[in-house]
Amino acid sequence: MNWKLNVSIAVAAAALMALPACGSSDEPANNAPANNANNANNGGKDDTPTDKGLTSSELCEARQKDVLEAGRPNFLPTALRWQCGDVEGVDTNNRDDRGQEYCEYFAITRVPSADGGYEADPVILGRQGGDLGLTLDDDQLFTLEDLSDEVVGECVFTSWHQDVLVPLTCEADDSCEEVVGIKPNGDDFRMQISINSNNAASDLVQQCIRVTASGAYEMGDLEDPENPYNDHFYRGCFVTEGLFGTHWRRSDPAVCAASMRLAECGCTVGGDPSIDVGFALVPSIREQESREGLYLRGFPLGTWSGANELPTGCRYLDIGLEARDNASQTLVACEMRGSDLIQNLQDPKEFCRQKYGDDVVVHVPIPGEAIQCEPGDHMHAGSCTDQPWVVTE
Amino acid sequence: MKFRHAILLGLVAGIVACGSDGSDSDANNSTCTGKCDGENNDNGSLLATLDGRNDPIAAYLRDYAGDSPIIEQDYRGFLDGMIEQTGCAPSTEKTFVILMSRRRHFPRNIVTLCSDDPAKASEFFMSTQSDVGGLADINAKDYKAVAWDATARKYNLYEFKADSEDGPLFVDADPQHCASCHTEPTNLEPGAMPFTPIMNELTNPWTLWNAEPEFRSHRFDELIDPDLLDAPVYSAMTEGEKLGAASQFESIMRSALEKTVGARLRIRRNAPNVEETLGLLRPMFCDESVNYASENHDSGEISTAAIVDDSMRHTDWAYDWINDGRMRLDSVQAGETPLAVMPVRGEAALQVEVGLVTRRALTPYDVLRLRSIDWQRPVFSEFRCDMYRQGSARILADPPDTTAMSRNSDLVPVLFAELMKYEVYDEDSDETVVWDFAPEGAETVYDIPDVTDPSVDEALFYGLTEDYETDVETLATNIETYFDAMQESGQRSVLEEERRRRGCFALANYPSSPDVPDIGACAE
Repeated sequence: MNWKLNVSIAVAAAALMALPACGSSDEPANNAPANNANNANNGGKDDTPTDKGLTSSELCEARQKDVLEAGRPNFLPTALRWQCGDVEGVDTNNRDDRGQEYCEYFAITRVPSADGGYEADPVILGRQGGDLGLTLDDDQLFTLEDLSDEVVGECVFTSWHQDVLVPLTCEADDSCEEVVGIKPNGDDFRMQISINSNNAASDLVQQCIRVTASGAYEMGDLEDPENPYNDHFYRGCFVTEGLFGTHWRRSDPAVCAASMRLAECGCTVGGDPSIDVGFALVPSIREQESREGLYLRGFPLGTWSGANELPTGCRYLDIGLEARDNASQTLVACEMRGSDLIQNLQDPKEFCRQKYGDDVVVHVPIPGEAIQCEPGDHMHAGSCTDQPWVVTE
Repeated sequence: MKFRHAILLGLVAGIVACGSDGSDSDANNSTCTGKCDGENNDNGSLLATLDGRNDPIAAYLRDYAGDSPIIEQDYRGFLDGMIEQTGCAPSTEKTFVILMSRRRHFPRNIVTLCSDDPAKASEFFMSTQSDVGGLADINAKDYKAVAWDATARKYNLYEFKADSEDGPLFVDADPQHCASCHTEPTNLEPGAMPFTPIMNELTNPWTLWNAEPEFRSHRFDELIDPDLLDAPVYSAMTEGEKLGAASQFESIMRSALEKTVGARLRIRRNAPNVEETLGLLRPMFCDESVNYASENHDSGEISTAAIVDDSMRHTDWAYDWINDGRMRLDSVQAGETPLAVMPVRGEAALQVEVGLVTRRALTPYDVLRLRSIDWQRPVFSEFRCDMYRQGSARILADPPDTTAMSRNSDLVPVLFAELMKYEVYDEDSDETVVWDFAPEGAETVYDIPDVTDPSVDEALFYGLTEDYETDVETLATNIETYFDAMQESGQRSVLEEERRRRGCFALANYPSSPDVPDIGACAE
C-alpha cells in the first residue's frame, strides 16, 4: 500500500516549510519524572505510579484504557488532547506533585475577615512549594459561611510553558485581566515544573520520532494477534517508557504514540522530507522566535466538546494576542464559591482538580492539512490511515 | 454465650412511603405518579401555602395564578414564565436526560435555567414525570419543579398535573407524597434531613444519563426507546443546543448539594439543642443518602468510594487510597462485566461530615475513629447506624447539661463522644458492656474491618482490645493493603458480590434508588 494525502492548504504548509531540518531540540531534554527528587524523605512510602510496584505493562494498559475506552477520544484529526487532572498516584503524598500534564493548577482566594468582609490581600494556594491550605478562626469561618454563594476565589489552570519567558502581551500596557485581584504575570501564572516546558515537549516528539526511525523499539509481531505491541498506543507508550520513564502520565505516551505513528507512516510536512515533521507538532521556542515571534505560549486549553470551549464556571483570561494574532488560551480561571472553599480549606487545589481537572483539556493542535504521509515498508505501514496520528488502538 | 447488640428498633419505626401508589421509586427527583392531593388543592388556599416563601416559583405563582391553584400552562408555558421570573436568558435553558429504569427505559427530562452558572442554575429545576403506563412521549402537562428559597435556605417542591389531556393543571405547592424520595430512607426516622435534590449517578460515566456532547454516554443510547427520540415533546425539549451533558448537570447538582449541606451545617450556630445536634451528627453514622458509581466504560476506572470511605480523603494522610479519588480494576475478563450502579456513600451525607471537620466542630481524628469501625463497609454499615440509634436514645433519655454552652457547635463533640459508645448485651449473664470507641485522651483507633466477623462480638464483650486497637498509621497501612488488593486480578467478582448486597439494601430502603442491574433476587 502506498498512498498520498493531498495537501490542499498551502498556507499552513508554507508556514511549516520554513522550519529547519534539525532533528533535535534546542536544549537538552528534561523529561525525567519531576516527583522523584524529593522522595528521599518519604519514609519509604510510594509517591509516583512507577514507585507503587506497578509494571510498565500495567501502567501502559491503564493509559491505553483511558485513551481508548473511557468515552472521550484523545486523538483527533485536529489535535492531541488530555485532561489537566493528573493520573491516580500523582497527589500530595509526601509532597505536592500535581500538575504533570503540561498543565498546572492552583487556587487564588480572598481571605474572609472576622468582621464579615475580606482581608486586604488575596492568597495563592497550591503553587509548588507554597501553602496548600488556609486556616481560619471561628469568626472567619462564620464570615465564609455567610459568603457561601459568592465567588470568593478562582481555580487557575495554566499551560504557559515553564521555559517561555516572554511577558504576556497585556503586561506591556498593564491591561491584564485580574484574577481575584492578581494580574497574571510570569512569577505567579507560568508553569513551574521543568517538565512542563516547550523544550521537554519538543524533545519528547523529536526523541520518539528518532527512536521510531532507528527501529530500536519493540514493534510487536503481526503474525501473533495477541502481541500487545501490535497496538499503536501501547507500542508508543513503551517508547516513552524506554526514553523517559514517563509512560504513567496521560500526556507523554499520547504525544509519543502520535509521533511514532508519524514516523512509521512516513509523514512529512508538505512532502518535503527535509522539514522536521516533529516541529509540526511542537515548534520550539527558538523556531517560533526566529520567524514570527512566539505564537505557542503553551498548549491551548479547552474542554472535551471543543478546543475553544470551557467547562461551566470557567473563562479564558484575556492576556492579549500573541504572534499570528493568536489568543493563546493558556490561562483559564474557574470560579470557587464560599461553599466550595469552606468544604476544602485544607487543600483548595484538590477541589480544583476534582471539580474542573477532568474537564479542562489540553489541546496540542495538529496542522493535519500540512502533513503528508507516504507509508513505506515499515511493518505497521499497512495500518496507516490518512491521519495516522489519530491512534485508535 | 449469646451476645446481642442493644439495637433500639423503636427508633426506626417512622417509615414513610415515597409517593402515593408505591410504584414511584424510580429515582432522580421524586416521582409523584399518583394524584396530588396536597393541602392547597382546594380552591383558595394557594396563597396561604405560598405565604412566606421566597423562591422564584412562589413569586411566579403569586403573579400568574393568584389564589387559584389552577393554571393553563403546560411545561413550555411554565418555563417561559420562569425564564421571565428568573431573568435567565432563553439560550441558557438546558435539558438533561436520565433514563428511568424500573419499568422501562423511559426518559425523565430535567430542565435548568442559567445553566452556564451552576450556583444560579441550582436555584430552579423542572422535571418531567416518569412513565406511568406505556407513554409514547413525555407528558407536557405533568411535571414537578423545585426552587431554592434563599431566605429559609431550603428547597420548595411544587407539582403541576392535569386531570385530563385537555384540562387545566392543578398546582400542588406542598406535595408531601413526593418529598420522601428526597429525604431520609425508610429505615431512618424522618425529620432531620432537609429536602435534597437527587442525581444518583453523580460521577463519570453517569450511567443512564445522556453524557454527550462532552462524553460518550453509558447505558443510554442503547437503551432509550428510539421511537421516543422523535416524539414531539421529547424532541422539543432536547432539540439543538438544549440537550445538556451529564457532566454539566453534575456541576449544577453539586452546587445544589452545597446549598442544602451549607444550610444544614448552619445549625451548629444555633443555641444548644440536643435534638438538632443529633440530627446534624446522624449522617456520620447512618446513610441518609446514597450515590451510585460505575466503571468508566471498559477502562476499569471507578471511584475509590466503591471500597473506601470518601470522607477520609479530607485527612492529611499520605496514601493513594485517600488522595486519588479513583482506582483501577483489573481488565474485564471473559464472563465479567464492568461494575455498574454500585451504591456508595451519599455525597450529601458525606459533605455534612466533611463540613463538620472543616468548620472545626469535630477533628479529622474524630472522623477516623468512627470510620475505622467496619471500614470495609463504607456504606450501609448497620453497626455504625446502631451506634447512633443506641447513643441517641441514651442521650435523649439523659440529656447533657448545656447551660455553659453557647452554640450547637459546643454540643457536637459532647454528643459525638456519647454516640461513640456501644452496648453489647450478654443474655446468659444478663450483663451489658458499654464499649467506648473514642476514649478521651487516647491516641489510638479501633481497626475493625468487618463487624460481621464472628469474633468481633466476643471481642467487644470481653474487651479484647489488643486485637483491634492500633495507631493511625497502622490503620492507614491496613486500608491501603486492602485497597491495593482489590485492584488485583480477580477482584471484580468480589466487588460484584458486594454490589449485589448493597443493591438489595438500597432497593429495600431507599425509595429513590435506581435500577441496580443484574443483581438477581434479593432476600426479603
